Amino acid sequence: MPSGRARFLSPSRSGWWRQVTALLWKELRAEARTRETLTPMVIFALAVVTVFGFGLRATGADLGPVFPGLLWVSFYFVGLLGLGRSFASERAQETLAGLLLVPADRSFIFVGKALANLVFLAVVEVISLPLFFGLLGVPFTAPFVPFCVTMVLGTAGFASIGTMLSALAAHTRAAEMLLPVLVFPILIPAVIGAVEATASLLGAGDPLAWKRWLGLLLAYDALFVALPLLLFDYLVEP
Amino acid sequence: MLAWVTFVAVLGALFLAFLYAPPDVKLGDTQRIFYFHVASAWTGLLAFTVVCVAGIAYLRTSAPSWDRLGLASTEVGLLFITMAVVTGSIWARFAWGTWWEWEPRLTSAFVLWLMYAATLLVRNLVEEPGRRARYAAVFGIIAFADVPIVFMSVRWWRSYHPVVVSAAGLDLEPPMVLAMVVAVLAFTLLYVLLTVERVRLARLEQELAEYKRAWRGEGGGIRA
Repeated sequence: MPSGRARFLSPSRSGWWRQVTALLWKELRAEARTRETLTPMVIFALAVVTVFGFGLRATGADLGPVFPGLLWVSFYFVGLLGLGRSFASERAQETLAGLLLVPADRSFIFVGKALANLVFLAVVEVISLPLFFGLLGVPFTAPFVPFCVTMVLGTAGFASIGTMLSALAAHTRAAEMLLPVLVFPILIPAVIGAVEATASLLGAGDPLAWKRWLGLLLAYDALFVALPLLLFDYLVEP
Repeated sequence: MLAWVTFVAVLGALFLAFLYAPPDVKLGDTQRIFYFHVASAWTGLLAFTVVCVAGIAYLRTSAPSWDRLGLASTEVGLLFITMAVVTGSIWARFAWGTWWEWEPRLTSAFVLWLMYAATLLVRNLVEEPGRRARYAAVFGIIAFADVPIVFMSVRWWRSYHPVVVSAAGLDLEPPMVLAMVVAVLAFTLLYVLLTVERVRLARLEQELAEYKRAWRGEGGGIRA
């Protein structure tokens, strides 16, 4: 029986979208119950802040030029931890076969998991950002909404391509070691865009350049959401 | 036949680059590495294009020959892009006084190297052959799509992080243009030669693996 939402969508699309939301909901509920991804990620983020606190030999204003880079590199490393798990558990319990049997376009698996990973990353970022600013003594001088937009765009492309490559790496030996090697070269434009955009918002770079970097992030996100959608089927063929 | 043509072309390139072309006005003889740097960088990019095309073709047809081409082009391409990065670094040392410079082309070549290495890792770490071919194809496509974006973003990034040294402009006189064209041609031929040989080797490897599987499966049928 189609839900209220489905009435506004064409019949073929409503099935796919329902699968996406069902998978997303399942990921979120499983995580809420076990917290097996979020907990290590948050603790890792805390550890990173601590190590930086000791290792950088500078705080506050002295950190100005490097702080945006610190922030994003930390989030990407912490994020890789969570991304690695998203297909590893499916493989361990062999539930991927069940997902493949669903009569819908298989890209729903990718979209559902990518959205779930995006939510997890967002939670970790919301928790860690105050810690990064507070413990490292950097004042938050950025305009709030543009800063949030930057965080979302910088994370979205990462979540998308990271989920895709996690599906690839899950079926290899040494999956946890392979994933960073695969993701980081591909991620370089996003790193540049996210760090420069954040820097311009925090006053460490050219303040007028923000829109240009956001444009780069948007283009990157668009490409690396579209490509996985096209190619995901080939990855999960049994 | 191809080997002989390549041999002549490479000899010609060496002659033109070292003896025929005049030394550069600003950099003198140290500029001569430029011919081989450009040639190897161009070939490295060409090889990666072939990897991407072979990947797309493999995903659509599932024909093993496309996978073999992808494998060969990845390995040979890694060789050429390594040469490009190393010669680029050497040239940077003499042209700009520094062993490395985060300028768009050199950086993009280095990123391309990383992507090649990652593609080879994917091939080495997947056991089942069909899956390996598919994964290598998918990653090759994704990585190739990223290359222009990497180049563009590094270029933008550079305009916001100006460095004291800038890319040395080269005034190319006609003899130098000839040397460069021949060098590029020679390296392209070398790439084709090496890739063709590697494809042939890959096919023989696969046939051998199949014989071994058959022999083991029949439990000594050929020996008895």
